[in-house]
Amino acid sequence: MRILDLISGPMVWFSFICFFCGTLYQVIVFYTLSKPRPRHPQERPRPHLGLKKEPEILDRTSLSYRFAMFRLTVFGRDPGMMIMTTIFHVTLILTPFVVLGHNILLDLAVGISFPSLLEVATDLLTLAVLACCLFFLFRRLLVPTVRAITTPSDLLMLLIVAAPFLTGFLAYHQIGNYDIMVLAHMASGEIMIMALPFTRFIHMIYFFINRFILIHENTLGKGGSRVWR
Amino acid sequence: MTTQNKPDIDILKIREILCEKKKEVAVSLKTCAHCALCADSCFLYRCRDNAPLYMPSHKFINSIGTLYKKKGKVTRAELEEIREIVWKRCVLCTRCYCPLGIDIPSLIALARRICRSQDVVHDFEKEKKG
Amino acid sequence: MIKVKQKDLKIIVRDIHDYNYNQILIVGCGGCASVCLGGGQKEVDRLCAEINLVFKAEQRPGRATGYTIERQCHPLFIEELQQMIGQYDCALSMACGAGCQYMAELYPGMPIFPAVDTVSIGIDRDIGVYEERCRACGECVVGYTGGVCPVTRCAKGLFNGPCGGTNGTMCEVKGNIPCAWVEIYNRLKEQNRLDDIKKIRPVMEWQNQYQRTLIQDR
Repeated sequence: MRILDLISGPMVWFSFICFFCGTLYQVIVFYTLSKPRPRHPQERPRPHLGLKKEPEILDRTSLSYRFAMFRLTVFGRDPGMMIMTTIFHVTLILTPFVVLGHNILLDLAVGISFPSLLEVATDLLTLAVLACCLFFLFRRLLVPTVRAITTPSDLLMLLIVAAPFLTGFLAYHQIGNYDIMVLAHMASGEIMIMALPFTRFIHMIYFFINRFILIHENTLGKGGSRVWR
Repeated sequence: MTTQNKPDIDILKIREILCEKKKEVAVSLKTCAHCALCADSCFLYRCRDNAPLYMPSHKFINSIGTLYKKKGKVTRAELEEIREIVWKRCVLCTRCYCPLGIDIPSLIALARRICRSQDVVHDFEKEKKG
Repeated sequence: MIKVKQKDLKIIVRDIHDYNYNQILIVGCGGCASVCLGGGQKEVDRLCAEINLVFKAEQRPGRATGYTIERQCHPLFIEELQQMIGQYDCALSMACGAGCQYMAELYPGMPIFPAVDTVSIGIDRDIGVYEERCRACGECVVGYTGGVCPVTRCAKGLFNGPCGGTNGTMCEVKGNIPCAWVEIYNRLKEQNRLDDIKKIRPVMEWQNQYQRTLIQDR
């Protein structure tokens, strides 16, 4: 049982330390390798005096116009994938926080806990994550564009994500050997947490850096403030 | 444009250029979730019957990605292949959309720079004949 | 590169309406027009959606379709349109004036309308911010003006020193733009090349007043 002690004890802390230090390291590396660039003040030409602005031919505030423009975004172009990926990422991050078992352990260990959901609800969330994983798997194997850039590492990543949820689900429902399932659940979860800042999961950090801090055409928010050196 | 009488690939020179943007390339390659959502933003992809070869991510993974993974140790034939990707399959219109915000054009431009440093360049003369 | 700006939708739609064209092909350009966020695939898609909305609002059977080619100033790429262009009543070009005209030349039977205005040859100051730097006058003088173009940057296009109206360091024609010749002076002074400014330059032979053909010696 020593391996169980290791995985349920020090390894948990180690993986969290790994995650936080790794994230911090990546953020520091980004800031040292990028430099600030103030946005150029955009002086818009003033409309000619005396010329009254004629009404637009299209009502750009109307619902139909907005919907048409929305159709041009990545959500409109590939709605299936975008809906699935949104559900996947939300449930993936949310579920571990609202599982009753996790919160009890957390409360025992450090005395804090997050609000827990009904066990039926967390069950459904887990199934949602697994369903999304299946969707991604089939997308990887069947859609030609995705298949063209799929490497074995992508499948491994998918496995690393799916494993804690699958084993957690099986352990909760006492399917298979409970002890082994719990062990596998903890071990796979720790692997995932440790892998976050160092593998392809790094997009968790760099999504925010790339989309909100770096300046490019598709920057969100205030338009970014830094560029790569 | 024969490849026989050309000098060997200067791996050190390639590494030197790669090193300048090492982290950016590394992060970009790692951040790419291989989601293929960039495909639709490339007009060449759409005009060429949705061929995956024209997908921005496919282009940068197989050009700068190859150079990075092999640490510059590429053969001239491989470099010629990269030339095809970065000049014939990409016009550097800089408009590709990456949901994770990877700056694909700058990576393609870097691959072009590496190709140029080894005298592997696009022959615009040939373009006329198609 | 060349900078273009989309025309007002009303003007574009008016062109189509006048002749009751229904099947519209909007041709984007993957070259300069795309780089300056003026006529790339994204803009083509947007214009398509907008024109289709207008058609729908007016209950016309028309439909706009978009297609973006690499460059509209090169026959190799324009030929791509050959197969499809016959299905359309007219085409809207989102390339610069040159691309638009070349398309018109290659497809004489097809009415071509520009959907963008070609604004300038400029630099990318920021994303979506472009500053004019060249007017293609055909005789570059920035060598002796310290890299500042008097044709583009001086409101009067002077070749010999500032005019009498320099308003401090600003232009007298438009108050909020700096005087090009003050900048030229400062630049040359920094490089110890003030002799350049004293030399009298002959008047410019305005080559851009007639159509030029460029033949590069190889």
